[in-house]
Amino acid sequence: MNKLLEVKNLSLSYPEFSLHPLSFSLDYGEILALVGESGSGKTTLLKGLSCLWEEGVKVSGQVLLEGRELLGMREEQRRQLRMRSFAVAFQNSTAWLNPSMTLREQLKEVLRRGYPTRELPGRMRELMETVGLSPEDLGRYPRELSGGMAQRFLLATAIALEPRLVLLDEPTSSLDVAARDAFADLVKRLNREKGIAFVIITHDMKLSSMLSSRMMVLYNGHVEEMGPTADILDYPRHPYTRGLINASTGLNIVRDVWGIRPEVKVDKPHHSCPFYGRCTQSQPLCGQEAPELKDWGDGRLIACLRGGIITLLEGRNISKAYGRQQVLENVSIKVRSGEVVALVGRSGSGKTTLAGILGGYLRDFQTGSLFFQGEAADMEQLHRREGGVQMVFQDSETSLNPHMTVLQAVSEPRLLAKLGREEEMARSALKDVGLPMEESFLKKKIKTLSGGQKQRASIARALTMEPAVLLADEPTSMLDPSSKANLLRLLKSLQNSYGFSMLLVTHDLESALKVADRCFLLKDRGLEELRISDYVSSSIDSVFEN
Amino acid sequence: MKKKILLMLCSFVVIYLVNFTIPRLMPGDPFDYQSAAAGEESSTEMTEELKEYLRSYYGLDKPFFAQLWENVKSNLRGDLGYSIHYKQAVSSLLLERLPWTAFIMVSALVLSLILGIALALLGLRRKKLEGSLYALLSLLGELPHFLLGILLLFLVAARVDWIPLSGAATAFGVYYSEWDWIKDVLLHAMLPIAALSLATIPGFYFTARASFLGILERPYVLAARAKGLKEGRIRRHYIFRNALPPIVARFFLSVGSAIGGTMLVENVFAYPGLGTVMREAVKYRDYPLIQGVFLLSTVLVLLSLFAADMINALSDGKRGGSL
Repeated sequence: MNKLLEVKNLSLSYPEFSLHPLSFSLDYGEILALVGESGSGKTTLLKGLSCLWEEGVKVSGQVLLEGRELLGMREEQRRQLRMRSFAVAFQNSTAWLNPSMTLREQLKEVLRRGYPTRELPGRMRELMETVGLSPEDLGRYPRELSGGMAQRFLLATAIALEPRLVLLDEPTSSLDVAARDAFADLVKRLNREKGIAFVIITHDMKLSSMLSSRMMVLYNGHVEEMGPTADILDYPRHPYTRGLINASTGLNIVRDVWGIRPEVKVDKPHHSCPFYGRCTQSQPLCGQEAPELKDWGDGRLIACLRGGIITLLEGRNISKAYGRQQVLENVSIKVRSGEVVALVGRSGSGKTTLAGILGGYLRDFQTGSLFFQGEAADMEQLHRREGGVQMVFQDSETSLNPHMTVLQAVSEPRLLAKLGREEEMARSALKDVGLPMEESFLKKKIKTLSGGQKQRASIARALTMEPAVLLADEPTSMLDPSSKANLLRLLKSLQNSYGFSMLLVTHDLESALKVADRCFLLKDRGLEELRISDYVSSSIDSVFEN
Repeated sequence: MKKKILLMLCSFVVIYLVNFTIPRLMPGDPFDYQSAAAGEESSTEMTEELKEYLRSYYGLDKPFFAQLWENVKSNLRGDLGYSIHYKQAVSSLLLERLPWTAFIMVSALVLSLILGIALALLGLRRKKLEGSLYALLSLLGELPHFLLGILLLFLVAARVDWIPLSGAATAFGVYYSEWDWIKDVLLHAMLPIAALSLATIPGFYFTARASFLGILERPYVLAARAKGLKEGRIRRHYIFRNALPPIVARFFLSVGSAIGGTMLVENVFAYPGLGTVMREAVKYRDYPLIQGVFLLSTVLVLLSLFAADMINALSDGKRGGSL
C-alpha cells in the first residue's frame, strides 16, 4: 500500500541547532506522535514538514506527500497544496490568529479556496459544530477566545478543506485535563470519521498514549526511539524515553514524578551520543560516536550504542529451601540500568532471602544463576569494585561496626578494597546523604547516632563504592514515619542523580509504589509483576469537567 | 475613558491659565509698543494720558484676577476678544489665517505619513538600502523645522527662479482661471511643506519600521503562510492592517510639534498663516491675539492627542486589552 507521507533524511540546520537527518513514513489515516522535551527539535521538524522554515535555514532530504516531493517545490505550487492536502494547526494560542479579523473572515479566506461563495455560510456552520464551537462565535475576535476555543478554531481551520494530513503542534500544552481529553476525543473522531491522518507534536505522554498508534521520541535533534505507542509506554527501551515517562504525571498517578537528571558530564565531546551526558549507562564509547537509529528486533527502532537500556543484574531460575520448606522456586528477576525495582511481599514471603541471593550474600541456593551485565556474576568481586553491587540492610548494625567513628565506618569499604581516596569519597558521600560535616560529628561513635542517622551513614558507606546496583533491604522499616519519608526520598533522589539502579525490598507496598519504576510481588514462592493500573484507577480527570 | 477625558480637561485649564499669564509677564504692554515698536525709533509717541485711557478702555488696568474672570466670561460666550494691533476681532482674524496654516500643516503631515511608510516598506525589502536610509533619516530627524526651512530658502529657492521666496500667492497677482490660482498657491506652498515634511518623515519612518518589523515576527503571519493565502492578501490583511494603528496614532501625536514647526516655518517663508500673526502679536504684546492663537493650538493639540489615545486603546482592545 502507498504511504501518505514519506520523510527521507529530512534535516534542518540553524546556526545554533540542527535536526539530525530523520526518516519515517505515515499511512493513510494513521496517528503518529512526536514526543520530546522543549528544545528537542519537535517544532523544527514541524517547520520542515510544513515547509515553513525561516530564511537562512539549511534544509535537506525529502518529504513526499502522496508521492509528491514538497521540499523542492516552488512555494507558489506548494501554496495550492496547503490546507487542501496538508494543514498545520499551531500551538493553541490566539497569537496564531490575526487580531484584527473576526473568526468568520479568517475561516472564510481559507474556505473560499475550495468552495463556491453560496456554500460558505453552511460550511462554516458545519465546521464550527464539528469542533464543538457555536456558529455565533464566528463573529468574535481572537482576543475573545479562551485557549481551548482557540485550539478548536485552529483545528476547524486546519480541516476546512478536508486535507489528508493535519500536523498538530503542542495542541494541548496550555489546556486543563478536561479540555485536553475533550480535544483528544475530537481528534479521534475526525480520524475515524474523516480518515484524516495526524502528526501530533507534544511533550504530553498522556496525550500521545490517548491518541497515537506509533510514537517517535526526539532528543536534541535526534530520534532516540520509535515504535508502537503502547509498547513504548509499557517497556521503554531507550533511557531517555524511560526518563520522559517517569517525568510524566498522569500515566501513573501513584508514583512521584522525577525529571531526567541534568547533564553530569559537562565536557561532552562533539561527536558523542546526544544523551551521553545524562544517560545512566554511558560508556567511554558513547562519548566518541553518535548512534544511528537501528532496528533491534520486535519492530522497535532505538538509537543507542548499547542497544537500549541494558540489564545490569539478573537472577535466573533461582530456587531456595530452608530444610524442607521451599522458599523460592524458579524465580527470575532483572534489574535494568537506571531503574528502581521494588520487591514487595508479606513478611516471611522470602524477600530477604531473594535479596540476599541477588546481593551475593547468600550463596547456598539450590539452583539458578546470577548475571551481571549479561555475564556470569562474580559477586565477591562485584562487592569490592567501583560500579558493582552494594547493599543497605534493614538493621544498620549489620553493616556498621558500632564502635567505629562515623568517618571510619564510611571509609571502610574502600579501605578494605584498596581503592584509595577513601576519606575524600567518604566525606562527599556523607554530604550527599545529608549528614553533618563537622569534624565533631565525623568523630562520633556509630552507636551514639540516631536510627535515621545510622541508616544514612550506611547508605553513604554503600555510595563510596559508586555502585551500579544498590540493594536496599527494608531500609526504612525501623524508622518513624517522618524519618522514613525523608530516607525514602533521599534514596530516590540519590538514585536519580547518581543514576544507579536500585532494588528496594520492602513489605511497605505504598512506599514502594511511590518510588518504583517496576514492582514485583513475591508470593507463593514465585514472582509476579504488579501493574499499578490494574489496581489503581482514578477519575481525577473528571474533576475539571462541567 | 472617563479618566482620560478628565485628565484632558485638567490639562486644558492649566494651559489656559499659563496662556493668560505668560503674555502679561512680558515687559511692557500693548500701548508701549503701539507707540514705539520695540527697539525702533518712534515717530508717534503716545502721551501717558492716552496710554492710561487705552489701558482702561481695554480693561488692562484692572487687577489680574478681575481680568482673568472677564476673559473667561467672554471666552465662554465664544468671544475671543479684539486684537489691539490688527484692530479686528481675534476670532475673525484666526479664521482668516487658519486655512493657510492648516493647508500646509495637513499637507505636510499626510505627505510625511505616506513617504514614511513607503520608505519603511522599501527598507524592509532592500536590506542594503536600509542602512543608508536609516542613517540619513536619523540625521534629518534631529534638525529643527525652521532650520530646514532656512536651508531650503538659501539652497533651493534662492537659486531656482521659478520658486517663489515668500508669501502664499503672488502679490497683486492676476489670475485668468481658478487653475492658475491653484498653481500659484501650490508653488508658494511647496517649500514650506517640504521643510515641514523633511522634519516629520523620520518620525513616521521609524514608527512604521518598528511596527512592521514587530508584525512580521508575529505567529499569525506564519499561520497565514500555512493557510496558503496569496502574498498580497497576507500583506494587506495580516501585516498592513495590524501594523497601521501605531502609525496612525503617531500621526495624531505629531500634530503638536507640527503646529509649532508650522508657525516657525511660516515666519521663514513669510507665509500668511497663524505663525506670522503670532509673531506680530508677540511683538506688539497683543494680549488677546496671543491668547487666541494659543487657545486655538491648545484645542487642536489636545484633540489630536485624544484621537491618538483612542486609536491606541481601540487597537489594544483588539489585541486583548481593555478600553
